[in-house]
This record gives sequence, structure tokens and C-alpha cells, in this order.
Amino acid sequence: MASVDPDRDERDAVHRALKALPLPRAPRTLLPRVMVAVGAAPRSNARPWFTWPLHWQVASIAAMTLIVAALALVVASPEASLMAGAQLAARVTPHAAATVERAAGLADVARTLWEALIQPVFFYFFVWILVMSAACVAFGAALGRVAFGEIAQ
Amino acid sequence: MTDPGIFEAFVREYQDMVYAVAVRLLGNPVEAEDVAQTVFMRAFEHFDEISASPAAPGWLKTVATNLCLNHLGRYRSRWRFFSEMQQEDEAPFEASLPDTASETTALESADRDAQHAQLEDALRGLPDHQRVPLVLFHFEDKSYQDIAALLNVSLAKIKTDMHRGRATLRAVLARTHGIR
Repeated sequence: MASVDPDRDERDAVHRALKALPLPRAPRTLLPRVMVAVGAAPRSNARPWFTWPLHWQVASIAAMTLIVAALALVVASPEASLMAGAQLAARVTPHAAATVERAAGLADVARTLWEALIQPVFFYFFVWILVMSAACVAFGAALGRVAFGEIAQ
Repeated sequence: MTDPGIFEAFVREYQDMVYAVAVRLLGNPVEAEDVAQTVFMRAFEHFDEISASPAAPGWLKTVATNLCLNHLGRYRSRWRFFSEMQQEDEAPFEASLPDTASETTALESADRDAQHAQLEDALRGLPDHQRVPLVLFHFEDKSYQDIAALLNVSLAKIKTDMHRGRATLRAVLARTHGIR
């Protein structure tokens, strides 16, 4: 019985004929070309974090948490941190206490310099860095889209 | 570090598939080989992730398709996708089709391989705006909507182009395969 939809018949006939086509064979030059190109290409060993093994991901999160917590403690109360460090050091070695006191003096100087010179402009500098970073990202994306015709993979 | 031997086996396994996608989308064997090489370079960069993945063939096809569409957009006139000037594109190909009466005897004696080659050539000979959606539909199993979105062309335009492309292929089938 003939179909009532000639467009569908045509589509199906073409589909069957195209599907019956054998797969075009890659030229014999392709494999050597690829292997030569691969051999010449520099390869980074860096892997994205989300591809790390699970135990490495957990360890990295724990390490980052410890570092951030320690930095937050030092920033929140530098004197207390130094005193805690001094007491800990004094238990370990008597000479360490003097070293820590000198470090405390240096920290005072650093804090004075920070408050006098850097802190007043820090906020504006930080905003400027953010804006410039955003502009670079936008420019890179536009360049990739317009000049190189990138399509997301 | 990727073992070159393992990667070579990977390329050997998938090179025909990748090349087939590229040559049918681009219609040009030389450009297809360039694109296939780029696809495998991308695969090498992500080889740790895709080598053992069952999604590797799909990943390769997607990258090959995107690179081919980029290539077509970059090196050929993008207006071909939008143009309504099909007459200009179709005329040379129609003119190159064999004359039914004079060629029938020769085609009847041709074997299946020759028929396939003729259909493959006819497909590659179609203008970009007809060939690309036909390949995406019939070989990559994309829907009309997906193709329209992928090519950034209206659905109606896609359907019209595909209809015209199929009509050309149907004419070739009628001559070579005796399909009416």
C-alpha cells in the first residue's frame, strides 16, 4: 500500500540509502600525522581539580581549610597569635622566645606600614584588579567568539 | 603520562569514524583530514578522562562536528547558510549529474561499490547549507530543532534546504539504484 506522505517516503528512502553507505576510510596518512603532532606537542601534567582522585580532593580541601583558618586567626588577632606562638616556642626551646619577640617587633613595624601606606588605597586597588580581570576575560571571550569562531565543546 | 602505544591504538580504532564525520560535513577530504587531526589532538589533551570512557566515541563525534562547523563558518561564506540563492549553488551540480538515457547502460553494469561511491560523491557535492543539515540528521541522528539551533538558522530554512538536498540525492538514487 502506498504511503500518503511523499515527503516522508522520500526522507525514508534517502535515509536508508545514506545509512547503507560504508564508512569512509581515513587516509593512511592520518595516523602518522596525528602521532607526529602528538609527539611534538608539549603536554602539561597539570590536571583539573575535579579530575583528582577523591582522597586527594579531600586532602586538598582540608589543607586549604587549615591555611585559611590560620590566616584568619592571624589577621583577626596578630598579638594573640604571636603570643600563642611564643608560648609554644618557649616550651620547645628557650632561644625561640627571643626570636618570637623580635618577630613581634617586626610585625608591629609591618602593621604600621600597612595602616599608613597600603590600607587607605587597598580597597580601590582591589576593585581595580577585579575590573581589569573581568575586562580581560570579556575581551578573551569576545576574541575567541569573533576571531576564531569558537563553539563550545 | 599517556602511553603513545595506547594512544595510537585509540586513534587507529576511531580514525575512520572521526574522518567520516568530518569528510561528510565538510565535503572535502583534505580539510577533513586536517580537522580529524585536530580532533585527535584534543583527545590527546583529555586522554586521561576519555580513554577508558564508554562516551569516547560520542565525545569524538561532538568535537569533530563542532570543529567542522567552526571550519565552515571561518573559511567559507557564512551567508551560504542563510542565502536563498540556491539556484546558483544547485545549477552546477545538477548539470554534472549523468544524463539518464546515455548513462543508464553503464550504471546498470556498475557494482554496489560504484553506486555507493556515486551517492557519497553526490552528498559531498551538495552545497554546504544542504549537506550539513542532511549529514547531521541522517548520520548524527540530530533532530530538526537541534540542527536549527546548532546552525543558528530558522527551522523552516533547515527543512527547505534538507528537502532540496534530498530531492537531489533522490535523483541520484533513481539513476544509480533504480529507486523511484
